[in-house]
Amino acid sequence: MSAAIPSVACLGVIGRNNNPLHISIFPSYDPLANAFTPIRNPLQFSLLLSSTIDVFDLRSKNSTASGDYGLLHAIDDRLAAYGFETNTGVRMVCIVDMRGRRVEAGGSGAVGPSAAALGAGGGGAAAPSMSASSLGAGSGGPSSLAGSSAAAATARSAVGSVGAGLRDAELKPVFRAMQSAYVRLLQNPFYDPDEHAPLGGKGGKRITSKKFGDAMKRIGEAWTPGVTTL
Amino acid sequence: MVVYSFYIFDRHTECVYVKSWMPPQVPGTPAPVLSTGSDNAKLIFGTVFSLRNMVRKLGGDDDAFISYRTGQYKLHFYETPANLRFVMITDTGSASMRNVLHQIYINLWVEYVVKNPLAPVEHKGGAGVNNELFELGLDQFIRGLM
Amino acid sequence: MAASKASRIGEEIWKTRIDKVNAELVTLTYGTIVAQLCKDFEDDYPEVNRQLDKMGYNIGLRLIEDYLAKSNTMKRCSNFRETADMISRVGFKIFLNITPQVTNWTADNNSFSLVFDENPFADFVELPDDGRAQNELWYSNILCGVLRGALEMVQMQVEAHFISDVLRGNDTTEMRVTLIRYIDDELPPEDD
Repeated sequence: MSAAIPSVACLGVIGRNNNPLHISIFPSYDPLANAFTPIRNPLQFSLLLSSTIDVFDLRSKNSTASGDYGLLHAIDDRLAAYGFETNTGVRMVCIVDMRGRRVEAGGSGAVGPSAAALGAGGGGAAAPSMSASSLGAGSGGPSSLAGSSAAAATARSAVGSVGAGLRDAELKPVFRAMQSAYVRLLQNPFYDPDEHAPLGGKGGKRITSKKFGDAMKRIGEAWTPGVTTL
Repeated sequence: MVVYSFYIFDRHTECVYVKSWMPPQVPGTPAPVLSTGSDNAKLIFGTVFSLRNMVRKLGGDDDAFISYRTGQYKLHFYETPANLRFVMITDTGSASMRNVLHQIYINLWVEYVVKNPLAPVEHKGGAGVNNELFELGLDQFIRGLM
Repeated sequence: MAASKASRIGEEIWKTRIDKVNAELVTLTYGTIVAQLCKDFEDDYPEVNRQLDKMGYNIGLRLIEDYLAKSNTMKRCSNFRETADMISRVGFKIFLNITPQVTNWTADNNSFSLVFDENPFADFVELPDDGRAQNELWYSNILCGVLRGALEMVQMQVEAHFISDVLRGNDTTEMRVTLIRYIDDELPPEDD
């Protein structure tokens, strides 16, 4: 018997000018195909990241000093976006797939409880779960934007249960690791921050550093609930 | 102990620093005839250079010329591995000044002249060092000895 | 002087006589210099290498005096092998707190390699991904100039250049140092 546990589906870094700096996408386990595939296409992830900017802006008025925004919004019963903002206005977003990875039940003790909690949450919202998974699996046809937002709307009833499955603190190590990777990127003398977020202007180049990309890949693949350092 | 004068020669044999502390004239005693004109600097360099070479020839490459004495004065010599030469002329009774010259090199020359990023490394054309901190430090140090 | 004794001297000086400075400050300062040179010379990397070497040369001319003062060196090294040991175990130790390995001597003892296991200048650095920097830029080239300048002051004319760099994807960072000649004492000009 196997159970699904959360995994990182996408890591995004958004610049000061609301410009995309970096997007890493990680495949989730697909039980139908018994394979790992991303549950959204890159454009959809990009749009999901863009949609978090509004939440950041809304919450920035009464933001916490730590910069940790916690759960930004639950997209459907599988996906949830968590956010973090540095004092320099760089936002880091982690989109978690609540059933992105499979573990054999009775494996490690740490995985057991969180997987059980998730199972309960998923059971409470059975109907939207079906529509969401069909959307995710339906990679053959181009899934329309309206469809995905509708799915998000129907899933909103399940927000509580998805959010409850994973405490905000579980994501802390991810953001800490992302931030230190970002700091290391800035320490590279050939990385010019001004190119990536021109003052007062719009837009900016994406991050092309291989080291940074590798760090994001490592973070996204290494994280599971209960991990304290990345 | 009395210090009469002090010279620094760089690796291009140029005299880059001269200073003299002539004692106040005591009536009735003949003043040592030691002027600090530029001809003297040349003469002194020629002398210590030849002596150093001679010493090395006789005593081996590791031997060092340290001082010589005349009836009027004693000349002390110290050379760094970078061929910077320090010369000090004192009265005949003074002990070895090798250590003093070494201290001047370490604590004054390196600290104030070499580490001043705006001062040139080489002092070509007889311009010499013109460094207030070095000047003051040296004067204080020498007066402390006397 | 035995290599172990040189190590002891380097360690002693590093511990007692050296003012320490934040390593990241050094790394970032040097990085900014290199990045700015690349910008100013419009990514003409061979020219950037030359400029770094020149800057290093000017540093070396001064740094040798500090080295001699701190290490209390009174006499010259008796041969080039001893010089190499002193460079690695005292010079690099007291100024950068690293001791690159001295290896790959030629048979005539006039040429050796310094292999850098760590290089504080290159922490955090990723060379620009323009297809040329990886082949043309020697990021730490200032070190070649420093050695050239410092050794010239103690009457050794040397040639120094990097032959590999981990930043370029090589396995090691290696600098080749070759003694060209010992410089004779300068003689005072003849009087007219």
